[in-house]
Amino acid sequence: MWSKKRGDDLSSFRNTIISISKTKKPILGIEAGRSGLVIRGLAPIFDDNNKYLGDVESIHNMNNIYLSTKNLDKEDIAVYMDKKLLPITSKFKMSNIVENAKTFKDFIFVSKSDNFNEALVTNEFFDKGKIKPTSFKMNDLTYMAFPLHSFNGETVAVMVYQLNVAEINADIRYLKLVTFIPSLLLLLIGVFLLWLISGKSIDKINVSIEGLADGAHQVTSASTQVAQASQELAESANEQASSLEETSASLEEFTSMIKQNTDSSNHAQQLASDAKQAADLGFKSMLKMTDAISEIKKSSDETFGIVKTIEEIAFQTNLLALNAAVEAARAGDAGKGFAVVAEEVRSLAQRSAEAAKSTASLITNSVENANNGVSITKEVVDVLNQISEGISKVNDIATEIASASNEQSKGIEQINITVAQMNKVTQQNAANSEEGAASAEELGAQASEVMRFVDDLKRMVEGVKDSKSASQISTSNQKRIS
Amino acid sequence: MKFKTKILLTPIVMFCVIFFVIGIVISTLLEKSKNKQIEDRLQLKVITVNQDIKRVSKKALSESSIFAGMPEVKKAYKKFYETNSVKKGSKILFDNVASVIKNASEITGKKRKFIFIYHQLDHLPECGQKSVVMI
Repeated sequence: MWSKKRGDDLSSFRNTIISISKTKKPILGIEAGRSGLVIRGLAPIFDDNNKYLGDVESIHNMNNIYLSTKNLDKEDIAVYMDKKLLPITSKFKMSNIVENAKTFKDFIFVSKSDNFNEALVTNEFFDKGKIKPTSFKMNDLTYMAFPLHSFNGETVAVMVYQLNVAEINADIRYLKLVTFIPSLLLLLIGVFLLWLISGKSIDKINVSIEGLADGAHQVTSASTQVAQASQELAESANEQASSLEETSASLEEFTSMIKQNTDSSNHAQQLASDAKQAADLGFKSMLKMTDAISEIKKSSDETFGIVKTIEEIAFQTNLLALNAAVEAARAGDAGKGFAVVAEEVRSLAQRSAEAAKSTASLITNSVENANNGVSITKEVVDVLNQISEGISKVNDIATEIASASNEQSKGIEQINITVAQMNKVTQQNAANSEEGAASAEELGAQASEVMRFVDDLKRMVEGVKDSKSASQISTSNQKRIS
Repeated sequence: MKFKTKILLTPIVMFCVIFFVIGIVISTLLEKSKNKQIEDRLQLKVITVNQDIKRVSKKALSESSIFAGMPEVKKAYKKFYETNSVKKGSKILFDNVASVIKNASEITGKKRKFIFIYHQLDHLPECGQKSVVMI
């Protein structure tokens, strides 16, 4: 259908035409016309001399935009135009749309799709949407209001876009369900497995607790016994130590006595040695005396021979004197003097004989005495020999006694050392026993503590309170140890 | 309370808490993702509408530019200015342009509306315009 108008004056309401006549440059965009909002493209016309002649304007309906915006069933739109444009949009103004249209302050309804729900669009939301794109949600409907600008940037309309997100919500709900149900199943399976595994573990823990409790009981009992044994051992060790101390004291006395004996025996040995030396000297002196007596006897024997010779000489002299007297008598007077001399000689011979006899007697006595002396000396020598031998034996015995005493002394010293060591060891044993007793008490206490823990663990595991608990038993044991 | 229950209570409660926390997190993430998706869609729609308006505007401009460059159109305008007769100028337009518009409308199936605007030079600077509308 062709229609033509001529002579319209557009300058009063067509800003695009005013603008292009000034700028002489193409213009495009939305501008209100008599029938409402349209999209315009204005191109200037120039002649061959580049002289501006006028403009050609191509007009497109906004409905195409509205239709392309609502391209899905779940999409709907509504467009609201600035009321200021109503005087321009004379055709639109006269239509019944305007009369029944909902308005938002300065904006009036222009167009909407069938399923657009105007009731949910609020003034506040709309006011924000005039300035910039603004959205809000209401159940399954989501709205977006945004301004539509004219060619020169003025807001001439507001488009409200409605999107039904029920399908998306359903998808999300399905996704949540798909995620939740397997997760819940996994959770339940996990809990069930945990329940099973923990049940087995708890059974094992129970067995361990029982074992631990038995062990602790045994430790308590053993520690009690050890403590008692240690106490007894300590007491015995103390007694032994005191006995050893006494023994040690006795041994020390004994040692001093042995030392004294050793000294005495050494002294006796010395004395015996001195006596032996004296006896040996006596023996030697006696031998010398025997020799001297023998020499005396020999001399006496020789003297006795001389005396015999003198006696024989005196006898002969006497005989001669007798013969001389006889001769002198014969010679009478002449022989008288001779007879006197012969007499004197005979008297001398007699006296010599007598002296010789006396000397012989004395020598005989002397020889006898010498013989007695020799025999006595021999006896003395024998006695001295016996004494020397006895002294030697005494000396040997004293030496042996001294040696034995030394050995005994050394033995006693060794015994003393050993006893001292035994004493030390005994004291150490006593100390160790006391420490052992203390350790056993400590062990008992620890065992009691373990028992208490075991008891707590047992109560915790079983969830019951045992009136006769293991720890109480242990405590009684501990008291017994104390 | 039994030991087993005591032992299991904590992990089960933790499992449940973790489960619900993860559930809440997943739910929140899904909700956020949904909201983001919706928001993106809404923003995209705004962009699409503005792009459509621009596209249609450019299309309108290109169409008007085609006619602005046609010698017959220039001839019609010259005639108008020479004679100061809208009728004479419009005749040339109808004779030469109407068929083009008609053909285009028939081919595309859409009505085309063009306005040819003359400047009334003698009334400047009020610049009143006369127009010839072709549909």
